[in-house]
Amino acid sequence: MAASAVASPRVHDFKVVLLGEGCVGKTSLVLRYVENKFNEKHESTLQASFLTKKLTIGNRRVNLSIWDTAGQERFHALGPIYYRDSNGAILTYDITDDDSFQKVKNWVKELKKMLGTDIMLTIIGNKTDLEKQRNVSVETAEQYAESVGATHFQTSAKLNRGVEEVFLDLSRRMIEQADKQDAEKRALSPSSRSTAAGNVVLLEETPAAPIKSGCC
Amino acid sequence: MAAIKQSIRANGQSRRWNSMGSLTNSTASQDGSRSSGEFTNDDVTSISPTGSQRSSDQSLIFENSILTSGTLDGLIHHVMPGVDYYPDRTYIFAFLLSSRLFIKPYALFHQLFDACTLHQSLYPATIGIESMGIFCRHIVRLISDWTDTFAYDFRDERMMTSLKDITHFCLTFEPATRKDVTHILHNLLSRLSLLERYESQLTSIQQEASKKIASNSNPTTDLFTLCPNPAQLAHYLTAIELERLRFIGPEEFVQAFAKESPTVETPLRDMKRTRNLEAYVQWFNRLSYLVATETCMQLKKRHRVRILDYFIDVAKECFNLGNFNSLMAIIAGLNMSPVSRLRKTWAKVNLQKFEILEHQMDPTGNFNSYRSTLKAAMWRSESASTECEKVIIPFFSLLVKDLYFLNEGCANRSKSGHVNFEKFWQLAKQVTQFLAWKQAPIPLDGNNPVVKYLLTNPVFSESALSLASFQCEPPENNYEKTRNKQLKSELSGENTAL
Repeated sequence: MAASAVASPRVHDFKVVLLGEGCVGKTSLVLRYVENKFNEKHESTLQASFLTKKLTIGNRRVNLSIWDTAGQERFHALGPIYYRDSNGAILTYDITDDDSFQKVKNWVKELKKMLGTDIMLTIIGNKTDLEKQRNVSVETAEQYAESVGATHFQTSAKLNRGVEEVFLDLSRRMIEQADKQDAEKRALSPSSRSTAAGNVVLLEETPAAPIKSGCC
Repeated sequence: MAAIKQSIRANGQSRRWNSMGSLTNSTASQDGSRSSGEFTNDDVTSISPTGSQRSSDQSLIFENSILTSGTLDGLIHHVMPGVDYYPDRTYIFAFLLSSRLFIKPYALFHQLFDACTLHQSLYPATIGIESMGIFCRHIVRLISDWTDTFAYDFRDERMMTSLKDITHFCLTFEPATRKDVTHILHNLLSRLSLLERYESQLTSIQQEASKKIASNSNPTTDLFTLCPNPAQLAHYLTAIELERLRFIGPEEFVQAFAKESPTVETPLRDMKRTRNLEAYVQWFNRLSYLVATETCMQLKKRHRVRILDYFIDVAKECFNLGNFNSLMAIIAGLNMSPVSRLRKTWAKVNLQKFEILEHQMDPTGNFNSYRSTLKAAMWRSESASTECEKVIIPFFSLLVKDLYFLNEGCANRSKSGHVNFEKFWQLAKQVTQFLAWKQAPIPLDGNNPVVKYLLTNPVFSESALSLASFQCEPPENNYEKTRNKQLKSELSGENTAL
């Protein structure tokens, strides 16, 4: 499944799922990141709901596929279909709307329940352009994020503030996690040859092996 | 690019002016494509039905003879029929669908009446009786288009008042339209009363469901006992889907945007008419929860395996019937954590069959495999001979998602304030496809015990499901143990059903 690169450096294929209540600006955020557009007139493609971004961090190449769940909020049972096998999740709330922050907490609970600690979490307070109407304090959000092992960021998709950093940080952490899992795998099978010079590709590698739950 | 951009100045007005006796050669074509040469750029006196004066140029912008943007006024004029102009049908649909983001339907409809009044004021001095007759027939045609496609707009009394006024006008100047007018009114009223009946059905289903919850929280039977044949159940599911799908008005998609987005510059925030769309979403959720409930309430592993195999077969039959929505609801139900955690149960299930179905609905590549299956199904449906073979029920959530992205991804207006009509062509295209899908009729027997069960039998809440799941297979790790305890204390004494 994973497109294994023949040449080094290794390419990471990461799946990132975007969760949060409606109207928190999830879609603007990802459109801003991938296409640097904010709700301007532009050619629309229906594929917009599935965006990819390639980036290089150090000597690592990363392909992000970003799954926006916008418009899906009312389909309660669909969550697992979307976040299954995700390497990272971006949980967005609107800093002017406390309810949306509570929703983020629910998502964190559910993701932990389903995916354990394999998934890297980033919590985002979006719409800092509306600072005056803020209803969720930075301290509260940061404390909460820390307590669940997530990183917290503040963004304004509208003003293009802080968006780039979110994805960069998350990618770094997903790489670390993938390295950790690789190391664990190697430790489990000591017979496996060392990847000398980085030109041996682990063919059986699946990106950040997801927890296999009964049905999948 | 600028060379291609051809602006047509006061397009609607010049046409109207032509119709009022000017000698300009009006060659307005019906396909929405016009070159600027077809219209004189003479200063057009602003006799306009709305009385609005448009001083600026470029009320409508065409690129490669496709209307791409325009001022709201310009677009409104473009939809108003004249004596020698009738708007293109695809434009009528696209505009009526999306204009509600900017102007309420009743206000737009009232402008149509204003156009009638204006013509009346010019009769007989400027417009002769023959021209009036043509104009009236055009108006009737537009009303017919509107009532056919957006019947629910006419639940608004103000719409009905204007409708009465307009039809009265038409009958006065062109009595020959009587037959058409009667036909239109008849169809409209029967559509609206059908809708009313449907709504009261939904309410009574709701009531029955809550009555069942109040009287008995422990289901006495299960779906498998009631309808052991998976193909039969898939058939019932399909009938329910089609019934719910049928009642969704195309405008509900657009109204849902207006409702959800606080930033939409629309006079429509109060417009909440998305009820049928919501009823359909509810049904999807219900089916997922029902699948999970039916599984978790089986205390014997043997029975759970049987019901899982059964649902997989039902899902397969749904797939064969072209009912992708039920298929996905079932798969989603089987993926809910209370079901998916039942490792020992799943170990005995025929996974091969399930994996094939899951692959069909795999979200990878924005549901790539589903999208190509859907295309193939559409292609097949076109050459189908029976009604049943024609059925395509799309995975509704994805349709909503696509429309949502279209709405989110493009602005309604450009910086100059022009309405971005390219977006609304796209929107119309998507919704038109949806309209074609919901046509296939399969009758639904509301009194059938299986249908009743599917629609009204209580389903467990998320918490009740988790608890039931722990009773099926005990908690495995610390997290589950804590959660089990927590749930027990939460739900003790409470009713376990939703």
